[in-house]
Amino acid sequence: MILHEVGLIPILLALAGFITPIFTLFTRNRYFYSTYMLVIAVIVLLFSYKTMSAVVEGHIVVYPFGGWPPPLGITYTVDFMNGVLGLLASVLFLKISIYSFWYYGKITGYEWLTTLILLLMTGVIGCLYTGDIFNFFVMLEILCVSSYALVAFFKKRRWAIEASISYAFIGAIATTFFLFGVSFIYAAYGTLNMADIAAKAQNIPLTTMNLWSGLCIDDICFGNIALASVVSIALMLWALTFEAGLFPNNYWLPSAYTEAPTPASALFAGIVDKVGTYGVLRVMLTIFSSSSILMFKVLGISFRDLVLLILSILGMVSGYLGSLVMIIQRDVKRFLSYSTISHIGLLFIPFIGLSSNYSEEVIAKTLAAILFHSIVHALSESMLFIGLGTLATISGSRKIDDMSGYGRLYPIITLAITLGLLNLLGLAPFPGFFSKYMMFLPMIEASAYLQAISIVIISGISAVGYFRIIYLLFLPKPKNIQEKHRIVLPSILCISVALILLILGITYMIYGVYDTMVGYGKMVVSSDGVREYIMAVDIVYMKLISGGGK
Amino acid sequence: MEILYYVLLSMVTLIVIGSIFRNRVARGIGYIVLAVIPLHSMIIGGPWDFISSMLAILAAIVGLASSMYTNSYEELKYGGGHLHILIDVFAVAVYTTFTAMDIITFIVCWLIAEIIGFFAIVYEVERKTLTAGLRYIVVSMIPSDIALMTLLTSLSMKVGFVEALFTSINEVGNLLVGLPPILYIMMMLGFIAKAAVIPLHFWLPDAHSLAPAPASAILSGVMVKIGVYGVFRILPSVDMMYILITFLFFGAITGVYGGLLALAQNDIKRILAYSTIEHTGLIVTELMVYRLTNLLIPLEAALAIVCSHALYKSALFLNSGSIEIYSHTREISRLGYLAREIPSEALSALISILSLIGVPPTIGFIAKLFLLVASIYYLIIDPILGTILIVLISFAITLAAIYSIKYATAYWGTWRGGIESKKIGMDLEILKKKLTMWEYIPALLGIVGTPPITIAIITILGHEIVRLELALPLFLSTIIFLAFTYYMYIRLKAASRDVQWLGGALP
Repeated sequence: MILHEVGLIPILLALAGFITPIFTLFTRNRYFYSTYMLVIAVIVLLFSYKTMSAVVEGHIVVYPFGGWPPPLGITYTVDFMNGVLGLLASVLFLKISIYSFWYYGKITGYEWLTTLILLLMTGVIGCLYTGDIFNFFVMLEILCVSSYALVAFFKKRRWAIEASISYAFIGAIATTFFLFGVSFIYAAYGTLNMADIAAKAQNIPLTTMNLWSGLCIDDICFGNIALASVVSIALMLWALTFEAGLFPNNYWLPSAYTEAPTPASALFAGIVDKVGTYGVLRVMLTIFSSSSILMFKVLGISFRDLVLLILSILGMVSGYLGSLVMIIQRDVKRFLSYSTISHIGLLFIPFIGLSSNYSEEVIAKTLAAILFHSIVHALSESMLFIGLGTLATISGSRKIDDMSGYGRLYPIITLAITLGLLNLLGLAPFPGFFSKYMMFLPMIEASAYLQAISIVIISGISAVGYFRIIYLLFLPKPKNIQEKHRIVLPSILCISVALILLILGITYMIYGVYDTMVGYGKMVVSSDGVREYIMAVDIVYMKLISGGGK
Repeated sequence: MEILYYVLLSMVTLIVIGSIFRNRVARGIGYIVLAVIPLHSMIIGGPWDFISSMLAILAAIVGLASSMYTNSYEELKYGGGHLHILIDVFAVAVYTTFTAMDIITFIVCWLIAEIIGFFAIVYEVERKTLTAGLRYIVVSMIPSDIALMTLLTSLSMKVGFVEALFTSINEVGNLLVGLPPILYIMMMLGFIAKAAVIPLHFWLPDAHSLAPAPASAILSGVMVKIGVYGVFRILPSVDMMYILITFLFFGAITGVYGGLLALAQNDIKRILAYSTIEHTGLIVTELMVYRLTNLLIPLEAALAIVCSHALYKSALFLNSGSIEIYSHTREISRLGYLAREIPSEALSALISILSLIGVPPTIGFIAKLFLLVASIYYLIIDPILGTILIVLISFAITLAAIYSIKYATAYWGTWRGGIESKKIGMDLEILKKKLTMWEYIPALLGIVGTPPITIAIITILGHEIVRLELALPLFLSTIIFLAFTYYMYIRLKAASRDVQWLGGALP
């Protein structure tokens, strides 16, 4: 199914971002920029919602840019996996734009912040929706470059510049690695379209795309695809796990998240790390699925499963690392950054359940768990960044100890923060509990007891850190009584997000959210689902020449 | 029967609201109704089975005593504060865990109780309490969360994901049959971590001794029983002999270990904490014997220990709080002859200690009687294991008697401080009326409640009918007991030895 909204979203965001500096010639009213961002956010939300509703009906949404048939032009392909994350991204964007009404009163240079956030969102949505691996690289570059600028936004601060440099330096190398990986793929496969690559890697016959990209005989298309796949997967996973902040690549994350302006931090923790996770999922599930070229044996298990096993172990390492280091943090935003690292670890731990020796049922359950935990974590972590960032802004310090006793001064926002922390911890009526349960279940079914136990232990360790924040917010008396700041808007925003989380948890129990998610997850991971993904792109040419697009 | 559950929920709400507005009457009424509802269910019939109702009644009684005790305790010790809210929410969370009818309510209440338990442990912010809290999280909370997750997961593998959440808690035992052994081990280990049985026992002494006294009373009196309750619920499905025997010996060794270490302690609250470890060890042992032999008498023994332990341990923890308020120390080497100063406290402690030792006709005696009888039954069935078990259990019981005497030296022993100390200006009437009064609720229930609890355990589990000729020795022992207690009370007022020390902190 061809849907024009998919193509409109990144175009709209990019255009909106690039024309924002022009507005500075006419107005510097902060309400103008907030409203501008809010309008864009609402439109993007509507578009991504429409995309999502088409996906939920069972379609795979495709949009060929410029009317070029798939392997030639850029195609945007949306199935359940990226549809959900795209909707999540636009929800977070809406949240940020509402928050900007308050936050822009506290800073200068908000017009540039607007530009950068819009560009960041272009990168995020582009990465999520694209069906073209080179376009993924381009969007990743847009995302990264705007992130570097956002981290260095407070350019008078020495630490901001340092954080930005350490992020940008390694980030540039990582994205270059990604480009190398893409080049290897292009050299061997002769195509950049994900569906086309997937078809060739899994030896699925096509009707139209191979008219342009050629046929394969065994391992040879334009070059040796087995070799190229192995090399490129190493290079691409490096860049993707860098963006996600998985263990060996997590060193840049705390300082970058800490120094960025609060709305940007909320977006980083909410969705930017999920882009990396999504990239890994797309590469491992759709392109190189369990019947692909990567199934040759290394050390007794197939190469693809080895990669997944390593990712799962790295997930465990970063989970433990993040939750342990989180306990001793003094800076509140650093604390949340380490919490993000531990949750990224939690997202990667179930990757072992995607291995090809498990049934499609288990794989689908694992994917559903990863997606659901992404949603839960994104909503509450970004809410915490907003809430605690607001408290940090009004107290003029990011130290946790300086916020002690704020629970009595600002009860609503601290209540929301508490609920968010309990959600991340996994208290039962909250969706955080169900997401951990969802991750735990396939791990037990896959007999991966170490991973299953690690999920609970990591949550338990991070409980210490979360309890500390709750404790400091509520039990001590406020240190220095200062004049009360007006934080009505952030309070309302945070408490409504907390309530939404609570409602999500309750509806989760009553309505069959789990079965629905597993059902859609099965549509993504099963061999029929992958075939459907490829065919949806393959058939676009026929639709185009038959005229119409619908 | 739905109506009972709604009444229960409204009472829970009443208690929490009453706690926020510092209204004693509302909370008192709330707890009493909470105790009556399961009682009603036990006698007339209701949604809960016997075990749930019994534990719930205990939770309500201990909750009532601790909650009322807290009112004055926080005034006298911390000069105000919000401890009472913590205590009330804690007691209510534990109560609702026992009365939960489906898995999801059970898990929600369990998690809330756990989290509140952490904040109760670290209420007095010190380095020590934070370490204890950390240990509590790592050794007690994480394993039991793993157990809960495994329970839920195993259920959802049997009945489906959402259905697992709404499974009735009574059916869990039947549904979990035929899982891989590792899952049973994970669940059992997690639940016994909450009950502080070897190998996951070492969090308890610190946590229970450093928490405020009413919190310790709830932690020790009813919170550890959550773990026992969890074990009881999954027990029918465990049919690997080696798992059962392993945990049987974990329990028995815990009994001896707790008793031995209780002897070595210098802090009165740590004595009580190690004593808790001992008792949960014995309870778990009896549950395992019940599963191994399918006889009813070990189950009755376990339930009798649960009842007696909840009552006297909460009374003693509240009592230790009063000692601490009165004398500003908990170290047994600096305490002694307190009975001359605070006789009503001493009487309350005496009743509980006699119950802990197992003097007839206290509930502690019944518990120990059942325990020994059950062990002898097991001895007949399995002579080798039975012999080892009976030796360990008798040893643990003896140790209990010894360390209870040690606790009693705080009231009747020699004071070894050696320096003349000054009298503190504390109104004893306040102590008596506001604190001691509430210790008597669980302490006296340990005597008054003996016949009904025994009859309930025996008849409801359907073991045998109560015979009338049993009443005569019971009546006689009651008279002897009362005479003895009265004699002690008179004696301690007119103790011949004259000491200068009049209680209070050392100079």
